[in-house]
Amino acid sequence: MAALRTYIIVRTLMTIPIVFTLLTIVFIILRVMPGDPITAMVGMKAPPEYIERLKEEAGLNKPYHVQYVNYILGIIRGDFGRSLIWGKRPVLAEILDHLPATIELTIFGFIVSIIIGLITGTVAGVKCYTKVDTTLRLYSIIAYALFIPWLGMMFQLIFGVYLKILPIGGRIDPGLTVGWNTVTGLYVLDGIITGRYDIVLNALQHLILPSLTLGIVLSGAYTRLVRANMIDVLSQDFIRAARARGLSELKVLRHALKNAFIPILTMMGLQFAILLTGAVLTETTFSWPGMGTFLLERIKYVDYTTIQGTIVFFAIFVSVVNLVVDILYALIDPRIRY
Amino acid sequence: MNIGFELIRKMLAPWLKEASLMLKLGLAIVITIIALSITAPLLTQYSPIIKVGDALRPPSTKHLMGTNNLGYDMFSRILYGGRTVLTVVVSATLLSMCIGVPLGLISGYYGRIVDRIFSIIMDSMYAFPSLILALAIAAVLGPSMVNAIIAIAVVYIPTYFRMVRGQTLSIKSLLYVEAAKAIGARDLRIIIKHILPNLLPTIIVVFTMNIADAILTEAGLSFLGFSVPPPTPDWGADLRAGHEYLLAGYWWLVAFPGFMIMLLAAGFALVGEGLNDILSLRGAEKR
Amino acid sequence: MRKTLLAIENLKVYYHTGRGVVRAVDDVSLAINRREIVGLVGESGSGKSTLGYAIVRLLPPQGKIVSGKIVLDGKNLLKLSLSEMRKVRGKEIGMVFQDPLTSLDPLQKVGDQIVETILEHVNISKKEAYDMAAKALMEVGLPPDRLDSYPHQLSGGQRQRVMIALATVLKPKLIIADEPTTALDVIVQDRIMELLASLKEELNTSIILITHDISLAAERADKIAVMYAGHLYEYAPSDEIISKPLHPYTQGLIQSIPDVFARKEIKEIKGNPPDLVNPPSGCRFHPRCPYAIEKCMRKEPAMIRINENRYVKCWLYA
Ligand SMILES: Nc1ncnc2c1ncn2[C@@H]1O[C@H](COP(=O)(O)OP(=O)(O)OP(=O)(O)O)[C@@H](O)[C@H]1O
Ligand SMILES: [Mg+2]
Repeated sequence: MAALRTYIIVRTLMTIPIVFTLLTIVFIILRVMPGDPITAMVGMKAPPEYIERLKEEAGLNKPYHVQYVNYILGIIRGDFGRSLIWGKRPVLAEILDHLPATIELTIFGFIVSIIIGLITGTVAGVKCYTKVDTTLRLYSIIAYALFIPWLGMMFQLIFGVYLKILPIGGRIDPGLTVGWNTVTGLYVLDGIITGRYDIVLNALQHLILPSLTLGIVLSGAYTRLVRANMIDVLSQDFIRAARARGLSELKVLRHALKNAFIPILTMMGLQFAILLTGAVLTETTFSWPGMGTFLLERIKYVDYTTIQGTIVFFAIFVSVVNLVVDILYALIDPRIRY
Repeated sequence: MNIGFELIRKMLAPWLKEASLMLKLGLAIVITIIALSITAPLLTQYSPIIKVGDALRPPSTKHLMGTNNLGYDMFSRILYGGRTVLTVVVSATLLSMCIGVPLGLISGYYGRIVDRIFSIIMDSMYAFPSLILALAIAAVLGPSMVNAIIAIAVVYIPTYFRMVRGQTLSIKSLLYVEAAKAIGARDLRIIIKHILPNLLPTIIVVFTMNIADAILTEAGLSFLGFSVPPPTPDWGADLRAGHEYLLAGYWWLVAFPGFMIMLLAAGFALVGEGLNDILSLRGAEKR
Repeated sequence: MRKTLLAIENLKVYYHTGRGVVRAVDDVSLAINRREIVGLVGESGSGKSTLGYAIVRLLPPQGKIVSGKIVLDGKNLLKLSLSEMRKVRGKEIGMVFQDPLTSLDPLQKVGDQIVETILEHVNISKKEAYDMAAKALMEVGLPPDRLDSYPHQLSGGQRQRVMIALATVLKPKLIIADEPTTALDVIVQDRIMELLASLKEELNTSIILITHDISLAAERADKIAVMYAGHLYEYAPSDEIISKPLHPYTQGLIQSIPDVFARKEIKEIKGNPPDLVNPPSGCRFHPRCPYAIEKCMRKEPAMIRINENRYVKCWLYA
């Protein structure tokens, strides 16, 4: 147990330089790189006074080292600055408004991808080097090559435009949420908590197409991972030993899957970054009011502090998820746990 | 010493004999699309950026893939769009290879503090969602072809870095580099003559797979409005433009550009897979 | 009750590989009595494990039982359906493997693995199964609290005890132990063999002890079967085979036992075992046999019955 605690502490400390590096990279991209963001975003035609005013508001007219220190200190204090437009709300508050939508989408997309990936990967692994396997391998390549907006639009065309059985955009029918207070911001979960099953149903209907789109495209990677691990695990001694104990094939497969899953878990941190990239495209395609849609909207309105804050938030988010995945892995695998 | 070159020769020359179905299929797709975009002027009489007919016409013999909301011929836009995509993607991938490979070599060969610093930067970037990184860069630089190339190139540097660094580490520990060191070869000579050739096969595989990924990132960037400015033909941008007309049922505006993105990305992924198969088979044989 | 527990008749097991057909077990016949320990010995690659796995029909995908019979207690295992065969595995035949670490699921507590096995075969409550598992652990000399351990928390010897508990918990008629002590250090080896022998007495089972170490077999087994290149060449009671080996290969094996007390000269058998894709004609041992005559090259000798318990396959005794 002591070893586990040490591992968690060390792993957590390791996150600090990674976050720090990412913050520095974001700083360099947004402020030091040639081209200045405000001009690039507003366009050359804007009057110079206007550009100057925006720069001052965003604190971009100070020397780099001062900017950098302020930037890092702000983040450490949890101060992401204030939006430059409209209500000038704190950036963090705006981010937290949009985060649940993205999280809900990624959770469902992830579930779809892992289900498809586990089934196809297991079949391919069990039937390795057969026609079934080749077909599934082809599937994984095509799924990977699918462009998310395109797949999404094809779904919109079929289920929304022609069959008219599913909503093609948004998170929920606006009328339903009038006077309804969310708890976590995840509509399905909140609906269950507050007993509003009409909301649960409606939210699920809105989730189907986006999460299928995201899930299918990401499933290809899991098909490959599961297949490779299955082949590896199935050839191990304990599988033959399990059969020698008279276990049914289903039980043997359960032993195999559990063991094949551990290495996949270690890949999930990286997979999460891919999931977020996919979520940005899915959100745009389905007018999903999450972080991706939010970021793009603010880029359009040159809300500089919000753009920076959102990207910084993504950096921290990804690092924390990586940390959590690694700790989870240590907790699940008994060989590390004890 | 020349296993690297040997491998490439074996990989490419008799590929017809050794190539798997995957490799053949992939090459067929890739070569066809490249050929189509090069010979675009011969295949279509229409310019991709001039109104050539009524707007929003469905596919017909006159306009094979219909016309868009501005009356541009979609078939021409698809063909010429291939040029845009291939130019951006191949330049970007080459650029990140030219930066990532040397950095990986230096990091893996010299180790120590240089390696630590490079590694942490590259690992951080690698863990960051690629499209968001590219988006940030493209947004700062402004929408243009060159800027899109830079944005995509930066995103993929860590891919090469990590692969090259890892392999350099293992090759370095192999005997013959030790021997070469002992007789006083210069570092640069060791890197170029002994390490690089062994890396080449893997670099080629990574390069091909990387192009497939970059196609999707380029499409993402232009779909979000951060690649070439309109009216330059580009599949991702066309998909975005067509999205507005989707509800009205103008399916041809989105079906073709998106399909081409998938086809080209799948083509390169298949080539990468096929090459990788041959490579790992050879590896297994040697063992 | 029949005296014979397991009768293998003219068994042929071939592996279909890229290089050709590997005749790993070729026309082997062998009878094992109740309460008997039979040592199956031979050099590496002689087909011992293949024979062992063929009995429970757990050969790798390339391996096929081509012909023959495997009769356990009156029923031909090769005729059973897959689900009937599953009922035999673990229940009537227990298996103990060479490497106990890799033979246990690393992610499951050993107790759960034992319980899982019990519940697969007998219809009792989970609670009863746990009690049974605890008792099985005690039988193999482990404290019952070890039920809560993961395999990696045990020592090599303890793990092999768990394997033995797994193999014996349902009181099988036959235990197949494939090199059960090879992965363990010498002192532990002895204890494990002691345990197997005492369990045999208690449970009235028979044991097939697969080993390349003929001295180990001589010490523990009632009978010894000598395999070479897929053939069974000699089958006799242990003491007789040690004091008076008949087959030249058996003689070679015995002469190559290092003996610290007698300080006699160790003689290795010259040459290497043949490639089983292209085995030598006639007697497969003839290229290495000091007594080989012209006939040995041409014709395969038949199994010769010396007396009720003794069989040898060699032209010297025809
Ligand atoms: N999966 C397989 N595919 C092809 N050939 C195999 C396979 N398993 C075993 N063989 C071959 O069958 C022959 C017998 O192998 P087997 O493992 O039964 O020998 P063994 O007597 O148990 O040897 P050892 O003492 O090394 O365990 C060998 O020639 C081996 O190369
Ligand atoms: Mg063996």
